[in-house]
Amino acid sequence: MEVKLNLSESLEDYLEAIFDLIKENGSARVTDIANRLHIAASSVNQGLKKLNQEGLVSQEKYGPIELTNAGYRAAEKIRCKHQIIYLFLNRTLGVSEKKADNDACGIEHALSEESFEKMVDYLIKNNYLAEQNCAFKLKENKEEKKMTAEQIMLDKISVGSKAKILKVQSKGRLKRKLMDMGLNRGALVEVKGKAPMGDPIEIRVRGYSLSLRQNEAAEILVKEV
Amino acid sequence: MALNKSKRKNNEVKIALAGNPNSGKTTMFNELTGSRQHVGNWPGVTVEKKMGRASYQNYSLEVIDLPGTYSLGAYSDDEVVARDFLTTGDYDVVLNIINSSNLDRNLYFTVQLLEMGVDLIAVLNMADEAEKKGIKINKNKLAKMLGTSVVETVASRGRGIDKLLKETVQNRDLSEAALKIDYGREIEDLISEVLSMLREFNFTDQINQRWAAVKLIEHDPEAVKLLEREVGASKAKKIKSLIAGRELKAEDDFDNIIIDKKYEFINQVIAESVSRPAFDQEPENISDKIDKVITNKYLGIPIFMVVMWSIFKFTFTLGDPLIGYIETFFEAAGGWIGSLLAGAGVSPLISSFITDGIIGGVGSVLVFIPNIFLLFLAIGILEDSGYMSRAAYVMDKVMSKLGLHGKSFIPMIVGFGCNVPGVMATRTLDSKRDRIISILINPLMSCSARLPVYVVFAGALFPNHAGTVVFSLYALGIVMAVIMAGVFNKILFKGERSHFVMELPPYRIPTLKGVFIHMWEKVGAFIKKAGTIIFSVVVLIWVLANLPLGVEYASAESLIGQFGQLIAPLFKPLGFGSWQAASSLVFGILAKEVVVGTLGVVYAAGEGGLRAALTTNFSPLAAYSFLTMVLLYTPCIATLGAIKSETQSWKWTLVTASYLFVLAWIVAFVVYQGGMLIGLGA
Repeated sequence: MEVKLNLSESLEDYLEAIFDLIKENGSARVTDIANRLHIAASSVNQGLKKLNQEGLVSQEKYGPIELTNAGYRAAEKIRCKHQIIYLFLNRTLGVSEKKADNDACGIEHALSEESFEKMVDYLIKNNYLAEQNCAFKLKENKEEKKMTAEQIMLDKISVGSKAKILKVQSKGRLKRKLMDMGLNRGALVEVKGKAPMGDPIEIRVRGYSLSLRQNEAAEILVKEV
Repeated sequence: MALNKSKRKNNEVKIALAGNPNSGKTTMFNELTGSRQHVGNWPGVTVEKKMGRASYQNYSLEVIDLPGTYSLGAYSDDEVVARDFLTTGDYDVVLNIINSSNLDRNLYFTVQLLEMGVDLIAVLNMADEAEKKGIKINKNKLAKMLGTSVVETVASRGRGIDKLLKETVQNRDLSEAALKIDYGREIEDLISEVLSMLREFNFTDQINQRWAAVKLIEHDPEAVKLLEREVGASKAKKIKSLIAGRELKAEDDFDNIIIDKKYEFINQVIAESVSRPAFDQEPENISDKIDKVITNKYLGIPIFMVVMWSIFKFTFTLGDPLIGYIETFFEAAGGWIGSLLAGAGVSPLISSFITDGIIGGVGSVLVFIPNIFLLFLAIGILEDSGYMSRAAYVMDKVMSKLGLHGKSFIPMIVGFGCNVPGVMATRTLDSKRDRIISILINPLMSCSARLPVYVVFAGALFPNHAGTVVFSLYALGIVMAVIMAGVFNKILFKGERSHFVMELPPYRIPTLKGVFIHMWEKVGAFIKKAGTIIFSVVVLIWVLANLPLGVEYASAESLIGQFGQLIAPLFKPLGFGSWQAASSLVFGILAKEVVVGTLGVVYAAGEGGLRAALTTNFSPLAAYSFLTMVLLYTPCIATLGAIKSETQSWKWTLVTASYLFVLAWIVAFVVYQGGMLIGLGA
């Protein structure tokens, strides 16, 4: 799913800090983030709350902070923007490395999607980007998104229709339960019916019947077949 | 593997049954052990432990029925119990019961067992059902691919059991290498790194190392706990951050990839060893047809109502005459022994202790049996036929509004018979939250022991509206349950969500054997758990009513009377501030129907006299207020005992006991004072 970044500057900083911390230490804690950004732990907590609401991080009570897949992609994108701006300033305009890096920090949060893409295109055209550059991966993902536009959630599949499961987007216990029951990638399901009051629904998967609630089905990404 | 086989005599074999729910595992257990089984508890948790004995030729087999689960993760007590037993328990062979007509998901469990290194026999049960569905399994091929022996059975008809037992004793010393699934380069590399770290840290060699590594990579909470215990927090952290760091770079969460790979392996096994109709060419089976009616948009709910009404009718209409016989028998026995003792010159006090105390006590336990017997007969039939899960399916929308699971209605319904099995029935719920809330509100379901109190009062004070009064009390209980479920959801379990991911098994004809064994178990559990308490309470009443020595039985001077006088003012605002009413409520906590008996005693009224005594001592409004109190207040000690054993916590037991008393007092207060205000007092 495309991550729409409407985050304030500081939230993007948090995201980056968590991303870096997990890469370096394997986990990120509130105190680590506060130290890295030189701010109070209480503001970090507030920021985390917002990021949690956006579905970018998840944190079990008192547990370590974890990036969700969406959060990971968002952090990656910010990183990538930083790198592209840096390259643009340093390679094409000849700004010094240190200045370019500093300016990139300031610009990365404000840069529009369009300017970013144009920069990437320009850099590619002029062979400034190595093959491994993050921008290529982002471009690829975007094209892939376009190709799979017909993905919908299982609760939108009508009774009697069949669908193939692409991804279970639930978290924690529920995700595990759904996958243990055989609702994982590639499984074929048929919606058999609805309970008299419209909820839950009955599906057939892997040769048996399973019931689940509408809001649970709404977390399973499928493709109608 | 079986590292923990203890020394056994040559002809003794210890086997465990493991498998998915609805695979016929219980039927197999019953078929193997017959009546030679007993039920206990796994230590520390509230999961039932069923054990039994079987024999084959000159071998003696001990059989343990592990809880039926879909997976061996760590997401429910059932899973943890099964997993702990399989990793560290003492057994020779595991019989993995597989539903042949549902191979994909059943093999998912089998694969997990094999990865743990469990020595098992794959039992393709329900072979007849698979045949009907056009599923053909090449047993040799399957056995080869899984690296186990495979036996076909139909447990419900006893088919293949002999072959299975033969295979079991032949394989008792079997020790196979664990199954290895290829999880792809990324994870395989990580597994080797984790394995070498485990080796370096001297991680226990009592469990399969690769399995432990995979579980750690899946972030399995029990495996992480074990690691921390074994190697200490700081070393455990090294492994954890290695995994976390690697996962960030991975395309998908590791547990997703691991589960996908397991199913890939299963798909391959099935592709090579099974031939069956394609997904969209499955013939519509009889279950689908029945479902079209049972879960029909218009018929589903009426059918559910009719079924519930029938259970009730069946339990009580058939049960009540039986209760009458039991009561008559014990009265007659008491009288006969009483006169015998009197003839032998025994003192009246001792004679009364034997007839009223002991014989009466045994009688009080046994009067519960017919209802429990019939109720669990009905529930057993519903469960084994497959209707129970449909009923949950039909009712889930309503129950989910209360924040509960559709299955929670089962303990609620059972609660109407008796809260003890009602509380026991919460075991069918997966999540702790559903369980706790269902237990907390279960006593609000008016159990059958409260009915005699209603009947006596309604008969005496509302002779023309007795039915309405009794019905209104049942309804009040349900309304309170709905309200309290909402309250508990809000204050105790904020933000936790329940789910309704539940298998709808095919409809089956229940076997008599299965239903009867289930029923006996419940009756046995009741006699053991509640019976002893009820019996001791009846004896205790007798003693308290006769002390200090020399007082008239249960008079104001007796211990009962004195305590009643002490607390009576508490009930004054509710309309029944007499010591008689107060002491009857005290003893009602020990067993609800005792309220009637105590009132009979304290008013010194015989069988017919109680009605007159009640009319003179209670106004209709005070009587109704008293009945709401009886309905709602602290449940009987047997129920509290069941709550303690189900929750393993005194906290929840005390919460239930006290919140109910406060609730009852408030409601009775509103009823009485409100009634006075609108002029019902006269």
